[in-house]
Amino acid sequence: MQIRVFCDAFLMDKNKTLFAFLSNWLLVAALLFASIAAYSHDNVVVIPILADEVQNFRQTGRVAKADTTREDYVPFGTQSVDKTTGLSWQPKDDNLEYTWLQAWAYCDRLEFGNRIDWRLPSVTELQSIVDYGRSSVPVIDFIAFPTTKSSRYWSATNGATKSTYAWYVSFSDGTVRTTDKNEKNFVRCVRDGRGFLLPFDFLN
Amino acid sequence: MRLQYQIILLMTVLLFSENISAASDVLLDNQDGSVTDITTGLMWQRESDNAARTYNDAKSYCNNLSLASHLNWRLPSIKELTSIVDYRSDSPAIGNVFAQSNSSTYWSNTQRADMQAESRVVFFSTGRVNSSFKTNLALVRCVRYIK
Repeated sequence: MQIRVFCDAFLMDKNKTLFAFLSNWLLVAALLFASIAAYSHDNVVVIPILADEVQNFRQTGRVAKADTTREDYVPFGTQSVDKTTGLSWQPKDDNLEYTWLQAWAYCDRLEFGNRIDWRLPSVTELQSIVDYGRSSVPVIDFIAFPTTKSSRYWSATNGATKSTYAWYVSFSDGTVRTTDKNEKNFVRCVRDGRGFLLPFDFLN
Repeated sequence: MRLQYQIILLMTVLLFSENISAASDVLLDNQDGSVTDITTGLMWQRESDNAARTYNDAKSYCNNLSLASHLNWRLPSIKELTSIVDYRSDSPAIGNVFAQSNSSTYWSNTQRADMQAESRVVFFSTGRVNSSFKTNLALVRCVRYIK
């Protein structure tokens, strides 16, 4: 078991008394939660809070969602936790293509990371992990999500007018479109668990 | 002190609920031509002026926009723009709070990393995301951070 907590951002604010007081308090709370997490999962817990993100938070009241970078994902056990959305993602798909109904069933039955509450992501959730700043394919953080194909991935969202169609996200170029539910596409499941993050993540 | 109480409250919430679901579409009409999305912290231009512009014109239109006594409007990123898509509805795939919204193509400021001549667009007929040449024409809906 190993616990690592990166809180270098707090050290920048020694001159602000209230913040320094709170940050100590937060650090203790973070360590407490990290140890609970480590005990329950027996895995490495990494909680990075980067200085520029805290700065961004103070200026805008929110953590930027626009461009995902590698630091946006916290490895939590075997899952990838997105700090901004709080969603836990299956880091690797199983390299198989499914019809839309099979994709639902696959996520529904998935047991992974000691969790059974996996589901097919909504189209907005799935699009949230597209990295539009990437000029090479697939357009996704390839370290958090290795083995991602430059291909289409199913979302759970139905077409609004055609019930035989559902939305997909293409990780070859980041487009979001509908297609027939009988077509076979790749699947990446998601769950709602936040993992253990610092309270900063709940303020936005 | 208020911040302190806020954090204590949030820690309590954190203790008792692991699953904090992303709140659904909470869009507030500010009655001054703007709409606030409290889940993303973004303020949107309520009505597009329905004028089709090139990418560069769209960008300068937002930068020069003065609306709801704010001047810091900008073109949204593609993820910001899709955050107001309502995938349950069609033509337009957007909530009623955005009055008389045109089911057309809207610009985002996210350029294609592999093709600099193109920028991302959202078709608000369905919510489809694609890219378009910057010289093409599309509508604009500007955005700003609440703070």
